[in-house]
Amino acid sequence: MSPRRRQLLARLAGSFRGNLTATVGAAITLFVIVACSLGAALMPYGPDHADFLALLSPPSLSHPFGTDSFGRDVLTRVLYGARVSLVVSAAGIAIAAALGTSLGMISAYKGGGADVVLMRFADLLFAFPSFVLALFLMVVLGFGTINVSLAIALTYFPIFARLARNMTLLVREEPFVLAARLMAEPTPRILLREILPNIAAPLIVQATIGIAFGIVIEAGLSFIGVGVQPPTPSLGVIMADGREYFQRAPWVLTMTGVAISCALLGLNLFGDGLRDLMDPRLRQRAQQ
Amino acid sequence: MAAPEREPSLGWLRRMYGGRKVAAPRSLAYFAGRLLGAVVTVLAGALVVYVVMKAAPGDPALAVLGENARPDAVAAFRHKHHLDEPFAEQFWTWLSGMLRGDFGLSLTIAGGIPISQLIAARLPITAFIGLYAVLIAVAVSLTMGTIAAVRRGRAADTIATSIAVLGISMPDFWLSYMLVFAFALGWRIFPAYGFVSPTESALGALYSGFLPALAIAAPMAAVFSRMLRTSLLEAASRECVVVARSFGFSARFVFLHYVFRNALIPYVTIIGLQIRYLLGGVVVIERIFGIQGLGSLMVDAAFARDYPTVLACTIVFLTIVLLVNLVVDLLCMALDPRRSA
Amino acid sequence: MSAAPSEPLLEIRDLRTRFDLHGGSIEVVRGVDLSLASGEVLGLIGESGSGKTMTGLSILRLLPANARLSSAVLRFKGLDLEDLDDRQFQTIRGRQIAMIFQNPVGAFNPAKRVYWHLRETIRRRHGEHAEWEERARTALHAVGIPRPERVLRLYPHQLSGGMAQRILTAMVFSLEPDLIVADEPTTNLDNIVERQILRLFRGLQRRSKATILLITHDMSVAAMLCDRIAVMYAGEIVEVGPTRELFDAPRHPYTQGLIATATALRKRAARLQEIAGELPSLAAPPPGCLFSARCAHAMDRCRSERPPMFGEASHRTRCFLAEPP
Repeated sequence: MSPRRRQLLARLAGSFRGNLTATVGAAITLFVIVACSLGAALMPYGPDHADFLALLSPPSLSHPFGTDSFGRDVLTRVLYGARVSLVVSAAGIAIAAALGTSLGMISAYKGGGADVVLMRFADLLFAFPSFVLALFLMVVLGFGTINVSLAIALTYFPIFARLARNMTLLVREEPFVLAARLMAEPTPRILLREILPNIAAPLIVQATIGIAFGIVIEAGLSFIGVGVQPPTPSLGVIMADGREYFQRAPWVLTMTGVAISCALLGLNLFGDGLRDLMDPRLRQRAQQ
Repeated sequence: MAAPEREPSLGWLRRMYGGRKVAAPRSLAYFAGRLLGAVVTVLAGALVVYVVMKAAPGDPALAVLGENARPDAVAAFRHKHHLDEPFAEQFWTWLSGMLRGDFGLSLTIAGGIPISQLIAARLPITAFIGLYAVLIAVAVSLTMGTIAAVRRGRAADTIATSIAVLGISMPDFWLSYMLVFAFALGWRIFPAYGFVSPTESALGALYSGFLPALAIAAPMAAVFSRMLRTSLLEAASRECVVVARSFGFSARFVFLHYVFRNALIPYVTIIGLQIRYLLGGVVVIERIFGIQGLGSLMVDAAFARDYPTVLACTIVFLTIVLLVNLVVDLLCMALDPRRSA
Repeated sequence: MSAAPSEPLLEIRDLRTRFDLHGGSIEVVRGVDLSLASGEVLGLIGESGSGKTMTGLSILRLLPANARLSSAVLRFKGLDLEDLDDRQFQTIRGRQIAMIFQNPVGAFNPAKRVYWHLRETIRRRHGEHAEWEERARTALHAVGIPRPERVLRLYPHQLSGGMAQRILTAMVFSLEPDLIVADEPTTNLDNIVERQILRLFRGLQRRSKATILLITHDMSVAAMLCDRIAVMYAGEIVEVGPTRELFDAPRHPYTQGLIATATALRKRAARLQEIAGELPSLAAPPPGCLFSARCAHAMDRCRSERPPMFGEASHRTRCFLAEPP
């Protein structure tokens, strides 16, 4: 690790201590991730284990979130479902980030016609309301888990593209980039080693916010039935279940929503805190 | 003057949209240019989604009529919906039809009626709910954001900001169930289902539409409140505020004309930007409350594999968003002399 | 020099302004004594960071939230300003004490046209139903804007620096305040415009007999406008006296350095004589005279003991070199 990067990390760790929002957000997010990865394994029930003697029972000690219409423990299903939702969303955002960042960087670096075309296309994609676009893509691609990731990726891709492009435009004229160009370094190398590390910060913030966005989109799509298909549990699927008997057993839908809200709260706070940390520093850089 | 704390959001705005060209002066030409831009975007968007839709695997005829449909039934179906023509002809028929407001026939919904009929019936309802939601969101955010900024650092600010953060973190369709639980099932104040169209009864529409509009409005209000708070604090830190006070203008005068007035500009800007995220919520909310709007049409069409209808809905939603953005942009221009003079 | 009236218009003694920060507090104004007679122009000279702007803001109570103000005496027209609460002080601002700021374009409300600013200021002074249009036009004529109709309809971002400063001057003078604090009014303007604005100030001051506290870092500006000059360094007044005397025979080494620099600039001397060194850290000030580190004439005593003011009532200096034997 280069000394500059080490310094940056050290500074980051220091400011973390001073920033309540980011720490709380990180803590909640970490808790959620740990809960779904380990918790699912630790629960005594499986997600499909149906106890026909305890259909639609309210929250109790043995079933902290109650049971659903098949007698399945809701907490277990929520933990499995949260895992699915997180993975689906993260995968989608990862694709969006990879695609959007690389295209945005290249487009800003090369400039010219390709830049205009890419930006116009990203703007066009961005003009559609997100959920509507995601729904449209599900119709085209077909319902199913993987396609949800793809839909999230395509819906969020323009944001990464535009952000990466604008940041690259700022960084492109910095002395170390010009120096690398003079030394005839190949373009991909310049992009990867010189430019990318310097624009990474806001991209990471955007990714954090994006995962929260992705979870909401996935939950919405699965809730109306076009996303993750049962029996695979995802937060949206469980909520769709719970909706059928909401009046009799509101806890299924309610507790699932609480779980989603927790995850989103953690991610949002974390993203906010990161943004607070990154921004003044970045603005200083941009002005140098 | 002490520096505001949530300034980063504005920096994010500048970074995201920094590549934009500065707007041209206020004039008919500018307005016409923007309108033209919107039209071009709709056409481009329409083209893209049409191509994407056509590229999707599967034969709509078989999907609708079933795998074992009789060949002549399939042929008749395909002829009725122009599916047997070459691509370019299909596209041209569709495009010229769309420009005239004719989206073709639905495949399955309502047994194959003109889609434009469906849309015409449902668009006003969605528009009503959307507008209702935006109004609620603006009213709530103006209050909460102002309180949070004026009482900055004190209890009211912390409460307001926390509510805002929670508001963003709740999926709006979950919130609608919580609202139904509280206000429709618990305290029986509002209906849990069903919607009275505004054409039948304005009061009925306002009453039955309140919970759904509130559910859509909540995340919007949260985002807007935060933005208003930030921009109020930023406006309050400008030098002209100190100057105004040195002239002896009262604190209330300065707040109204120097702080609030100038904070409106980023506030309205963010409203324009967020609309596209948040009006998407209308789709699911309509399903939950049984509102016969454009959103539930799209969902029904998605399940029924009624591709032309899905296509039409997507394009109409795109158009709505673009129009809203245009209106918001004009509003921004009116508020900001730097853009119009 | 006109005979000083029995009581000064503004009397300040031991003004101290402190900023409360995370680590502690910094005192940026350290016991400033000033007195202005009615109708005189007093210059407050110092480099950036000397505390002169803070002094001006302190007089008008326009400090940021984390500032703390204290003074032994802060009397304006015989009224003790420290006794007033914020609401009462608010009536003094604008009506009796007004301020001209150094960033003219940024001083306006960007969303409102020029006429709105003039109208509100005039209404503040003359009441809601004042004939503001007539007064506005007169005021703009007085500051040398020949065709006010066009200017009135402009937005602030359309104004040049010089134009903006003229309009602000018109606004401040139309308030007819007893005391004007002018903080670097011409710093952000280019030289030609600066000369015009300064001549304008001089003319307006002579006609209206306004009392002005002129804050600047530019000796030549002070020389042009001021009857008396107070030199400020690191939050303290180090010398105060009539302009002519100060320029002919400066007593404090810092003043001598400033004048030498100004003279060299004016004569385009081959070598600029800079005063070496920097302002001392106000968070941890050294004992003794705050200027001792940069002073060519510093004695041992200067580094350990804080010098008080020496000299006659009209010309005093904070330096052991001026101590009567």
